[in-house]
Amino acid sequence: MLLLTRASKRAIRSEVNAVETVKRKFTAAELQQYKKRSMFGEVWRNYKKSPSAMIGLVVLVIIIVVAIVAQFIYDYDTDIVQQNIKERFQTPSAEHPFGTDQYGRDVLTRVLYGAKYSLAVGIVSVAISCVLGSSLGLIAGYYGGFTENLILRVCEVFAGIPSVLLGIAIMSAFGQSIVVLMFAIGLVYVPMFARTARAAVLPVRDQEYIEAARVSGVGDLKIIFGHVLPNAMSPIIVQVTMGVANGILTASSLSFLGLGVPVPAPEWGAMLSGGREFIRDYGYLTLFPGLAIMITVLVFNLMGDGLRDALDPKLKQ
Amino acid sequence: MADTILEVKNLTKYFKTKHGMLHAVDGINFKLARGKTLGLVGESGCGKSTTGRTILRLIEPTAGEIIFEGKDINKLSRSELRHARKDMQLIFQDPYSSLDPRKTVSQIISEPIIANKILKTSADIDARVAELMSTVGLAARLFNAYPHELDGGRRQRIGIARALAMEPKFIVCDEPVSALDVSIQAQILNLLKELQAEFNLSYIFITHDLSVVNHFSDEIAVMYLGKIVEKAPAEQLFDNPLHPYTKALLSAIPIPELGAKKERILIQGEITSPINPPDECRFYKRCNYACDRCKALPELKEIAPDHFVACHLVGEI
Amino acid sequence: MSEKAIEKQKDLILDVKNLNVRFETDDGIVRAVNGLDLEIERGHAIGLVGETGAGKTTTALALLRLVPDPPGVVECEKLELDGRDVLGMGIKELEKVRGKDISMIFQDPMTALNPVFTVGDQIAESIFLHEDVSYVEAQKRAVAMLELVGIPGERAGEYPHQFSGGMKQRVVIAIALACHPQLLIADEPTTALDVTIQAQVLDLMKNLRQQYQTSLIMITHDLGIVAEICDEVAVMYAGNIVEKGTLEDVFNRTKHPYTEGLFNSLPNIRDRKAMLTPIKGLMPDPTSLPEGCPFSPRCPYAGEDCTAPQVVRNISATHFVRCCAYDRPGFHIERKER
Repeated sequence: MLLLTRASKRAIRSEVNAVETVKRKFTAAELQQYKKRSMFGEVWRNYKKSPSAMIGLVVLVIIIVVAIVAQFIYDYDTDIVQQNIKERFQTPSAEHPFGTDQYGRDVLTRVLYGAKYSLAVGIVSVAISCVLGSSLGLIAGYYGGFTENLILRVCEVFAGIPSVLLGIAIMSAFGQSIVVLMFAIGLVYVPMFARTARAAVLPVRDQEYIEAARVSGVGDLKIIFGHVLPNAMSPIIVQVTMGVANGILTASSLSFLGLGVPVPAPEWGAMLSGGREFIRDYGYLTLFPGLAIMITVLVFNLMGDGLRDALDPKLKQ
Repeated sequence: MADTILEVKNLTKYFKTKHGMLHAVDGINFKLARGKTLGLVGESGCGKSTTGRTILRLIEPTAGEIIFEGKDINKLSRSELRHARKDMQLIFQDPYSSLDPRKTVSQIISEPIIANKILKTSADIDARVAELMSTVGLAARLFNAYPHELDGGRRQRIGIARALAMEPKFIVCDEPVSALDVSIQAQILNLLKELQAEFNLSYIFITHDLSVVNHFSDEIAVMYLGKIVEKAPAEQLFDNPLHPYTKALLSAIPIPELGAKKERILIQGEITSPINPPDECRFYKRCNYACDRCKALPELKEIAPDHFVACHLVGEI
Repeated sequence: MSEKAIEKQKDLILDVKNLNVRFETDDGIVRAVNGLDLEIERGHAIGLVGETGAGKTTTALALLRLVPDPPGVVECEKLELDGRDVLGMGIKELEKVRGKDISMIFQDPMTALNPVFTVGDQIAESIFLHEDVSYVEAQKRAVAMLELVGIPGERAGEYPHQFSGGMKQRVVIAIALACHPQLLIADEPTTALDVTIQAQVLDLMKNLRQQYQTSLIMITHDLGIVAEICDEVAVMYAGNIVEKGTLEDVFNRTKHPYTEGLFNSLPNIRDRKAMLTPIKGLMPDPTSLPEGCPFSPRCPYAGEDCTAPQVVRNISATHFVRCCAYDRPGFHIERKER
């Protein structure tokens, strides 16, 4: 019944051809002209379109350059930590644009030099929590059932402990150094990433293209990282930008408690908390490190928004 | 039926829910001959999509055998299943959610080829993708387009090309044209027919649209609450429907012709809950002819050659 | 002379002249409706048929003045409902008209009802707002409306989630008809429903319409539904009506090539071996419509004359078509008259 006559077959074929294009083989050279929309090039082109994201990127580059240059022009012992009681509590002036602190140290120098601590702690700790947390969240969301319950419950237990307390516990167990600090903060934010990633996976998990990939014989790992992750990326990126901010602030809290970067080092959080007791009379002591933290956090947020939009193919034109 | 490609025996799928067992598919049997099309018709919630997915073992069946080319799909190990899936593919209903929005057309179509390591070099893969694209009538310029840049008809062509990539012998078409406009629907139906003739494909065509299934299928099975209530060659089913449900269903189709007004059989109420259905004829509560005999579950019996009906009152109504 | 006499006799419930709707988006100006004229006589049911993106829903929203602005811009020469100018109405007046004189049934019954109010309250609210009755009285009328659409009155105290899809659509119909509107706009009211339920709902709509003499605009893509409950058909393509006439005019004496294409795309339930002949190509991009006839790039009869601005051509007093090919001597389409 379905063996179509030759004539009707030709009729169908002509219809199909009329719809789109003449059926023929394409040569590699012909295909070449449609290739290759490079992933990176495309994302960059879209990223460039957003002025705020570009401002974020430029400012971040400036901060990084300053952080590096500061290492070379200032000497840690003489410029950064050496006390100079005679010149303490000087308000901002031409000589000390940001003023001096309670030990007579130049605040500007310390803020510039301290950029490296905050940046390193913020970025590395977020990298740790993002990789660990997102993987857990992806696995939980994708497989569901018992695996999901187990991962979520463990995360909830950890999320129930105040982050600073958890940080203190880890710091006291593994000793006080900047590396341990990074790991401690990284671990503290793992549950947050796990939950964000899982929530982002849920709507993606039930999409038919996931099923289609399974029918095509694609393995689970490839599905998770090839299909689920890219489509669940937006909230994770937002979380990363907030995480950098949180990481910097948590590092400050720990420093304040004497558990972060060891004391004389000009970590921004430590400077902020050091200036806190003088906030009434010498507000600039907290103002400038605070501004530094704020700008850094803002820069990451701007970049995160830009990146999220640039990665979404629906916005590409 | 000498050359049977697929035989389904007593296929059953129950889902556990809060309120009891949901009988999605309840012991259905059918055979599909090579190069033919079986239409699976029914209203939402009758279990037709579950049937299609269970045959591909995207959903694990509760009981029953699925014999594809002499092998029981249910007994295959993971790797064997992956191998068998090359011959069995699925075309999805929704051309929007069945394509990963973050992948280009060529990435989507090449996915099964790469996952199953059919071709090694990227030049070979590109050439094969281009060939598939021209087979389904997609212009080569769309090689690196994203799905959202295309309309529903073209997207559905991408889904078809992906299904064809493994050179399958059997395809489950799950409402492939329901989401498309009439003029586009006709294009896709013609394409599917042409492909069937060209590659000797066997289809299971799942739909709720009776005029489409009539046009497309050799044999039609009507499902109601997880059971096949009537199965017959397409012409016979439309000319001489025997089950009261089939009759009502056929009379409910609005016909785009004047003077086509015919006796409309309105049935009361809506499909009843598939959770723990009582052991009576599934159609009992809505049937205009229900009597005491219908309190026993009717068997699917062969009334005429190849014409099966599950109703106690065949011949009396 | 005689034409004028006919015009006077017409009792129009809706009179639209030169309706234009465009959406000004970042990607360009989307021309959704382009110079649409529509007249509906009192008590008539007209089917507005077309594919996705033809501008059917936008037209309906424009009639209710519900097009979101921005980005929507509505321009219209004349928009009269029952002889009253809708264009000049203020918000207060409009709110009185909506739901009272003209109401709308939406496609998806699942989202058209508010999940936190009982269905009885939702029907009563519409009556209470538009008519001078006490709330208790409105409640009583709501129960009566429910029974009218075939739902037992005691279910008025239940919430939408306790109803099935078909039942919800009945509730939506009850709300739309609660104040006995003169014009009812139904936007694909059965698309989300199963065939047997669709048959029930269509049956209900047909009966209610006869009972209340409501005029109806039925928006659908299904010519079968039109054949079943409408008196007239208007086929829309790219924001304009390309052919309009009585059921016989359009179904049996088809004139426009697009209407012909639609019919040829449908599987014929009586002749299953008949080939489907799809319309080639795709809907034009509404941000850059082709010059002249928007269907010309897909039209098998297209000629050079198709790039000229299209004028309406009267075939008979009830039947008109927007196709310039009829200026060619002896032109006819392949579809035979019946």
